[in-house]
Amino acid sequence: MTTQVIHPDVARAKFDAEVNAFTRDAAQYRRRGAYLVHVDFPTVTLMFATPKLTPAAVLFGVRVDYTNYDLQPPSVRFVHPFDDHDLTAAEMPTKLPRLESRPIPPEILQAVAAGQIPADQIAAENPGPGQQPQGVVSEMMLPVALVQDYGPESIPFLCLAGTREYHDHPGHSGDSWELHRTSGAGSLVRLANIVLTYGVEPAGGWSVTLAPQMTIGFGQPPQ
Amino acid sequence: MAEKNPGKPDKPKDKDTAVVVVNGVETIVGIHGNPSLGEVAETALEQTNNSGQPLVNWELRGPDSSPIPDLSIKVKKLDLDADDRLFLNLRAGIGG
Repeated sequence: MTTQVIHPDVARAKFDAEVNAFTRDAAQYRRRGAYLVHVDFPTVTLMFATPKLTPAAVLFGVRVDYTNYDLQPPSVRFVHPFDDHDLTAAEMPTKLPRLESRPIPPEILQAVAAGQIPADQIAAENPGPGQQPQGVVSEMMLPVALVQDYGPESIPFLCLAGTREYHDHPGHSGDSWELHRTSGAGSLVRLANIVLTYGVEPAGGWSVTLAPQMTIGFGQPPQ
Repeated sequence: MAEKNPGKPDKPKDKDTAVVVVNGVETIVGIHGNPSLGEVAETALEQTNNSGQPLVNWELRGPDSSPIPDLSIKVKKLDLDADDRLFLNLRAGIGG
């Protein structure tokens, strides 16, 4: 548990400002699928549902801990919508994938070289700065998960500048919170917007998997 | 100076300003002429002291919450009402 080190009045004022900024536009966020369900300084819990689906699905909650904000960035946890326990990676319905331009993975290059994937297809699907003058493509759009984990039973985290989990990670020591603190990167509305954009809005419909099994239908056995 | 007609309300000023919510912080942008949404967004960022990130790192959404990717659109084309608001949120940036 993080100890509160900044003055409680300051922390409370900043926390209230974050909550008020969300509640002022609560109707707008609710239409998109986010609504506030619990406020208990220094934490606030938002719930995320899918307004485009019928019936709608409650995907998860997000608990944001604003202890020592904004001396420190907020901590973000995905929680169960009904009993509030921290979701494990296996329980997450989505990893909040986002398409990013990345170098083409070696296995895809090998598949292109072997003729299993037409090179024209890669070039057509990935126009942009990665395309070289000769028509050779060095980068392609690949889904990158904003939610990272260390295994199915671990607690996943939002790997995003503006969250405590991101800035505390040794891999991001060169991208400190101080570089983002005044940009609103840790604001509640920004975090809600990110989760809505990558976690809720891509949910376009229910996906049903049917696995038919065939067996021979024998009739009444003969005497 | 002509006297104001007491029976006639003032002309609405709703077309002279646009309300932009920048990462939850509301700011009123003065509209002079018919600027592009990009210009309105730049002004909103400036007024809220968000100078650290370029405009390309921000996402603009309209009053109906739908994204507006084309910032070259002129603001008057949106036909904003007085209580309509635009939303400017910082994109995800580098993650993972």
